[in-house]
Amino acid sequence: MNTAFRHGAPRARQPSEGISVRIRRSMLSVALLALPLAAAAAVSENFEEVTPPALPDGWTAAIATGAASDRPWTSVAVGYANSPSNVAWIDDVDDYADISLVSPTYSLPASGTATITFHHSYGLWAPDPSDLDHGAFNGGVLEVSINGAPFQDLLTAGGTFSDGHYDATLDPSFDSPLAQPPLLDRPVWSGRSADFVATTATLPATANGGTIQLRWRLGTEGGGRSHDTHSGWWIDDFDCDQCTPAADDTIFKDGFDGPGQP
Amino acid sequence: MVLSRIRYPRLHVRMAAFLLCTGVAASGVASAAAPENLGNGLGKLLESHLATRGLSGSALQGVAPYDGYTTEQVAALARSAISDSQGRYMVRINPDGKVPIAALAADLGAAIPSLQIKAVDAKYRNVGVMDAYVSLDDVAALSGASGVRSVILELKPYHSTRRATGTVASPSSSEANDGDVFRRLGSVFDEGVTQHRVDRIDRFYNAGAASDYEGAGMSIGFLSNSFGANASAMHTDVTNFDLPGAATNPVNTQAVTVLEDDATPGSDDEGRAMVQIGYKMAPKAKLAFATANFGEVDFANNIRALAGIPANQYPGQTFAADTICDDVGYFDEPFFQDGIVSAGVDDATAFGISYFSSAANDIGVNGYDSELRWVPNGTGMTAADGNSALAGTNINLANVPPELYAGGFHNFNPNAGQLDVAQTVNIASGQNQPQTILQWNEPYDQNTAPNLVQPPLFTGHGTITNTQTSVSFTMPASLTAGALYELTSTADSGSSVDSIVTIKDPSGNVLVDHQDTTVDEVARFFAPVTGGNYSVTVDRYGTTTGALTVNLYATNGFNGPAVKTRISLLAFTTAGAYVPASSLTDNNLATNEPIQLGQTPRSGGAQLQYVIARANVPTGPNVATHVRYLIPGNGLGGVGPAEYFTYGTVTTGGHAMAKGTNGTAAYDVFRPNLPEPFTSPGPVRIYYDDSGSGEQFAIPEIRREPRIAAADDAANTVLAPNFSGTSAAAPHAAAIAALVLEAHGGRHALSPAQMTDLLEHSTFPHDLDPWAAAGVARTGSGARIAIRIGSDGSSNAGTGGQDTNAFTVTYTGSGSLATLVFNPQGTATTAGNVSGGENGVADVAGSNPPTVKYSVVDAPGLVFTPNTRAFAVGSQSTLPAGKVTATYSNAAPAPSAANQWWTMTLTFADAAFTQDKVLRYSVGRAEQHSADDHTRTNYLADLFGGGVSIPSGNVVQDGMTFSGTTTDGETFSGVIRNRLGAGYTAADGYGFLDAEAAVQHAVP
Repeated sequence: MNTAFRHGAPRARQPSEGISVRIRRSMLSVALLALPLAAAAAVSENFEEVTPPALPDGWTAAIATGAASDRPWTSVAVGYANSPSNVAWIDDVDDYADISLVSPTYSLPASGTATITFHHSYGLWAPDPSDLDHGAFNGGVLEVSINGAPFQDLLTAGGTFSDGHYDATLDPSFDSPLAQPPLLDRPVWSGRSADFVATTATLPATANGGTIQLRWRLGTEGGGRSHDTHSGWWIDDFDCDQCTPAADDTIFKDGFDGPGQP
Repeated sequence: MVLSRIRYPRLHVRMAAFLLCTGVAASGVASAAAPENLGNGLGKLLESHLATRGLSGSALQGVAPYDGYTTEQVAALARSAISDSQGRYMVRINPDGKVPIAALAADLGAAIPSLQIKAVDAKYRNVGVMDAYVSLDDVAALSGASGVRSVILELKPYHSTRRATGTVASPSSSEANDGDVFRRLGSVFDEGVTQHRVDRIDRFYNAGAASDYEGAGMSIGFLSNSFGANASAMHTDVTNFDLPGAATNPVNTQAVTVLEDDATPGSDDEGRAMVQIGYKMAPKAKLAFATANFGEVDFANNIRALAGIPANQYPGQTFAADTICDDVGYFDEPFFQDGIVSAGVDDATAFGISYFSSAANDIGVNGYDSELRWVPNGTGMTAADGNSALAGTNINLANVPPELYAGGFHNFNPNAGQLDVAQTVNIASGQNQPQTILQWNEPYDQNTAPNLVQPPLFTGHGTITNTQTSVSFTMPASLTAGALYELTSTADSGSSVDSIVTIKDPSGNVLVDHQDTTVDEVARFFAPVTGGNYSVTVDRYGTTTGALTVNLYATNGFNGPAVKTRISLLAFTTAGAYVPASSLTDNNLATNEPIQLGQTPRSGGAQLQYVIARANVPTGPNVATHVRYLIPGNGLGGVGPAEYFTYGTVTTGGHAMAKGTNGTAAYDVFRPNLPEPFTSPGPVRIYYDDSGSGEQFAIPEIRREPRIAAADDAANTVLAPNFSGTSAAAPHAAAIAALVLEAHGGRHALSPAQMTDLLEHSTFPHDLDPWAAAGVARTGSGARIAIRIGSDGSSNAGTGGQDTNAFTVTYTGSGSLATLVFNPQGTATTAGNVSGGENGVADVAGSNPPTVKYSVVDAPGLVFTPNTRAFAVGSQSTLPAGKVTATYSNAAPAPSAANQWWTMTLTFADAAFTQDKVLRYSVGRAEQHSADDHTRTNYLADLFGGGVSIPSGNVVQDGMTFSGTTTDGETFSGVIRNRLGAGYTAADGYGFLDAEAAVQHAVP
């Protein structure tokens, strides 16, 4: 359970970005009190407030399947990030593994369209294009849990990508923790992104008025891995324009929690 | 050093020593002091020399029972070292940067008469480096000379020729299918011509070829050991057209240019074998050779010379290569940074020359590669004594110098929360055991001088006269154990005294013994104990007299990057006893080189335990985070880790990973579907640039080496009948690159980077998951059976054929798995090894000009051979061995023997194989019909999956079939596959070159 509302310092705003309301721990209670309940809120995370390899409060790493030597997602500061200095990272691995980065739980307003953006770079094992290319071997997906239900792919749950879509499908001939019947050729991010790219997604409307939790899930098949200087999956500068932290009793202790909320 | 004050000539056979550091002293190995700044075991070689000097007969035998050396390790070192006919050893002299390299060379040559400088690179790391021959008697003086940072023993290079382990001859004509007929050049046909599809672009071999690229106008350079050591054989090759140059040669009358050769009798002229490959692949090209045998600096300079770089050309040289290849490696080339030879490669590529180097022949399980996981030392000598660092081991630290492990141990166990600081390692017997090379990612070859702290800790003045011929000082300043100090003895103005310096510790132990390198002396030493009252005595050379000043300085780091961690490789028996004579303990802080190198001889068994220990706990940037060791087996089995290994551990390195190098893996021409099992894997991790900055990259640069693959094991008259190893692959690749240049307009038509890009995209499809294969099947209700196989072709203790965890079977679903049947059809075509068989040529009798007929024999299929290795459940299996039974059916036909089967059935008892269980096991398996007409044991996992035949390019996706049942009454069936396609793999880079595709490929 998320016990503290803590997000990273804002990244430098790019000239092309619109203005949105950003709430950080120091100002949240004031902001919530000042805004109508239906108004848009925002959270962001750039992983800057922690000392590597720690993850920010509320962010967790999970290894569902893998070798005993597999490492979880961590934050790193190695000179490669969308915004200096920290970034969340998991290296590509050459065993059968299922390794996730999980966000805190967020609440969404009852109406409107919630959008998330994050910047990521990936170097995950995939063949080069050829006549024999039947798909990627290792890949990453974004999954969402709505109101505590099991995680499912963001697209399956009704979300959409407007930018930075999945760019590959898994080779259905091989066994991946990400791909189970009937979707053996599941869409993923794989191959080499070359640099950080932005992915923007609209969250499922079914989550409106409830809570969501996001997980960036790496699935690897064993037998190989990426061999790139920037191998693995790097995530930085996450934003959600309609999200507010859920289950933060410090903020919601006076009854803003809905029925059934912790 | 002041040039005008150099004496010459003079040779003192005196031991001027840096110091005996406490670690070495306590080991009991040293019988006399050797300077600390000697690398690659030179200190141990010197100590052996000192211990045996003047001895003979039984006295010598008693002290030095190993061929005249004190230990087996030193004897191995002496055999491996480069030496000359005068008994001098070749050493690399690392300067400290305080004296310009040219002046340093002149100074040393004058001061040390036994010194003969072989080669100089004036710009390396901005301070230069040189190789020289020197007598062991003068090593200490050399190491203490002003301007010298360290002195490193140069070991003979290795060549990537595979040891002869049953090479395969061309198939007989009776086995040949109907096939194409090709003209033969010389007395033997290089099958690389057909396997690389050169026959389709060369009208000498094939008059009907669509194009004709024979290398006309192109020049190829070669570096190896020798070309004409066997002059008679060389002339025969020319006469028989196996080399160019004869006036009657049908394609090329230009003799091979030899820039420098090593004519040592007995050399196998591997370089000539390589030149022959280049000639057969590009018959009209100009060819030149230079040896790489005379040290790394000379090697690098010969690369530059072959490239035609003016400053490095030999007198009268007109040859300038378009492509260059070599098959040479030096054991101490850096793993994590570009080194001396790489600098030569990069100069050549900057000059527009494409470069190819053999990846080497060291199977991945010849090495160990890991992030460093340090564990502090505990209290006590053993785990039983309560030393927590040694938990789970039988390691006994008694007799190990405590200084060597004061900073703790590397934890070999990568699993979180688990600990094991000792690794069991397979060691070959006697002289078969290769060197062990341990390196870590701290700056390499950063030749710097210590920063002196002013004012001096001590200053003393004295005068030497004809009646008082020496002066002594006791220095009250307190020195710190392990710290580096520098003492100078300098003649005062107007004085002519010539100093000879002796330094002792407070107990009177000699640290520097009569150092006498020139007029004034600069002596560096690491203090063995903390405290004051170290002493110095200055004697005079000859009858010189006058006033002098002694200064003792503390030091504060170096005036550039320096090694920060002293790491030793400590060897223990399998019973846990320390074996100092098998340990590697050079003082890296003194040599400033992050390497330990030397043989680790057996000590009563076929295995040792390696412990990686550090002497100190450095802080700040540029501290080691990664370690690798390599026991370069060159195809030899029985060496390397028996635990904590990874198939495909990086074993390529040195200049084969240089920025400009196309590291070249090998494919056997007779079984051209998979890379050779011994070819050295990559990729490599680079932690430092080559500018000499010494700043560690936060993220290591990954270089995708080897880059490409080419043929080996083709027919050759020099290394007859077949030239095997990546040594043979590199010249095939370099010749194809020459053909590409010819096709695109000639010299410099492509930059080296464009050439690399083009070649990477001119390969056959290949197996993208080397050392692995996998299959998955599902029942009608969705239960899942997954099979993963991971194994290489080795059969060391614990690896390959002896890896009982090679197969992994998991079941996900209700009930349990009841049976699992491999190759239930019992046929060859459903048995994997899909491209097994052989390709080859056979002479067409009576043809004139001589011709050969190409043939292909398809012989797919793997068989289970419980007769060679019985089914065994592995240690990582959670399904108990008692719950599974293996049975066999469908006996395989000849050439298989009895008890060799197409089909293996696993039956699981007591409904035990539920979805929470994992089965790990191994069983004997073999190619049913190998290229040499036998059933041949082969543990490579890839043989279970699909494959690609070369040179046809035919792809067979499906490998061995499997089926089975569950206790729910459901059935399943599936097939084991490899991932086939385009892309990089650690085994063979971007795959086997298709010359036809390459010459047709547009310039990237």
